[in-house]
Amino acid sequence: MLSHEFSVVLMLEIAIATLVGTLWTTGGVFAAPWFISILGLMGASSLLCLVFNLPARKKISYLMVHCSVLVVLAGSVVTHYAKEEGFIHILEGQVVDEFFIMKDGQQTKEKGKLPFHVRMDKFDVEFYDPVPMLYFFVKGKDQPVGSLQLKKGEQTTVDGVTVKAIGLGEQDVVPVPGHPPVQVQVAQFEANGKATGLFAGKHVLVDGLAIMFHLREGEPKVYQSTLTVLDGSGNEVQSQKVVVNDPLRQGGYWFYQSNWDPKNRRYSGIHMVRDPGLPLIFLGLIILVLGTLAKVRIGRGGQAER
Amino acid sequence: MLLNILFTLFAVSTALYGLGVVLGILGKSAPMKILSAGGLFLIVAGMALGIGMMTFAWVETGQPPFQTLFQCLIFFSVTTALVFLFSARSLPLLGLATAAFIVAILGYAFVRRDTALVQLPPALQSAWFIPHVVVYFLGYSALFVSFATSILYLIFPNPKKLAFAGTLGLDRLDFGMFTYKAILFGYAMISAGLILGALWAKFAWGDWWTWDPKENWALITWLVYGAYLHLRYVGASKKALAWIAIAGFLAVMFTYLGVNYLPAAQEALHSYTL
Repeated sequence: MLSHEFSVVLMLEIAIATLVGTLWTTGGVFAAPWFISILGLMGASSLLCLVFNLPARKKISYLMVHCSVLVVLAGSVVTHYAKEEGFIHILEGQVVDEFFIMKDGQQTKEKGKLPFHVRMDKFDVEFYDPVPMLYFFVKGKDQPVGSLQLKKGEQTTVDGVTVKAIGLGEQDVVPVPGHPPVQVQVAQFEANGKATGLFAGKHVLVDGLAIMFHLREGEPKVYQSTLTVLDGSGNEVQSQKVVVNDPLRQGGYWFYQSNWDPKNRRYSGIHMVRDPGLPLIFLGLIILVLGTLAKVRIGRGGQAER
Repeated sequence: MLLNILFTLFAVSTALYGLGVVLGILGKSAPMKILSAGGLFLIVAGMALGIGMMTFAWVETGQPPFQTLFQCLIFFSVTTALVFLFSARSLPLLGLATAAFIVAILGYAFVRRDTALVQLPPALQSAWFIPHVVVYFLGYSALFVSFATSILYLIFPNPKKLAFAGTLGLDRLDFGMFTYKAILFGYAMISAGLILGALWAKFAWGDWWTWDPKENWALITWLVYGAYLHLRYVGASKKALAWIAIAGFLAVMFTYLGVNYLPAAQEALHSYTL
């Protein structure tokens, strides 16, 4: 019984410390020795729960949940002492076997070495379609005082002018007399009840309000680096298109698409992590979930469990 | 427009259940049953409409309908209705609590309405996204049930002794056990949500845990319910357990909606919508 009360005290301590760490981020609570000590005590408490209460409980869920805490903490210890983290700045066509070592999430000037080479074959960014937008300006202000997405049903009132979006149309325009017409997008909307059409980059004045049509650049949809791993002799070991959510894995090293430079589309920033504690941590987390689910199944039987 | 209809369905359901409960307390069983059946029907209808709205959004955009706070709140109302239907549909008091809570959720969706279609950032384009969100909302909904039953326990500590216990179905109910079972399910779901999030984070950002404010509050919530389960085991009073279950759900709500208002959350990894 006492081990459970001890657990409750520790849980509340961790909860309060986490609360403090969230509200005051500059204190470095989560790396502080006292915080890590409480986590260590949590492991000891789980062990005590297992040793003193398991014979009486004989519940698989109880065993799994308390073991899982120990496994996750064991994995975290391995991570703490053995994790390597770095950053690779690489250009298309470049081959590297070095990385800038990262400490506490920040890149340092110190360099580490990979046991193989990595070549960056190609970097691509794919964007979402541009978003047609109306921007509103008033005299004396440089910045727009409002905006409206040009989507049917969208509506706004700015400076006494009510604008209702109708949609995006197309119109034939003859750019040079004598040449065939080209199709140009036209913003269609109503401004104070009057139907208006506007080409991209143009503006119209409605009761003192300037309305401008602009195709806002779409957000990046996919960042993609094609990376190839080479062994010591220069032979290709594997090649992969690395995107966010799909890192390249080689010999315990994980390579993540992490950065890009809009001004240099041949550049890619690759985040590298090697974390030997990870398998233990995920094993513990999976045991934890299975343990809690097993409890639900047993609980559905309807008997009071204490 | 559809949100107005959805809101109205649950608001009328709340009114029907509310009136039914009042009649039940007055001992009028037959009209109470009719009103409760009406309230239940509207919850089912609202849930169906919510699912329809989400399906339409999914088909229209080609992306999972969890992109905006508005869409997530619609889904939260659907899971809350679903958990109620599976766990407590025969209890008018919980029907009243569920319908009223969904009205509050949808009211918040009205206030924070954001129907603009977000261009999904690369980190959210993940197979982990849907299961992570779905299990968390199922967990939140179950934990809402535990919150409601805990409040009911504090109001009616001995429901079986009440004159209207039979009329409202309280004679066959143990609020403490109900709370416990709802928490067991909710705890399993938020544990699963936590690990799915951890796996996703590992694949997206390289770290399974980053002490991000959202993660921290998810941990705080998990610890509060962990404390509940341990205290129940050591025989803490039912009243104390009820208060912890209430505190747990307040932590859930803060984790979901409140964290984004923290200064520390402005640069956080989970700040996609506010």
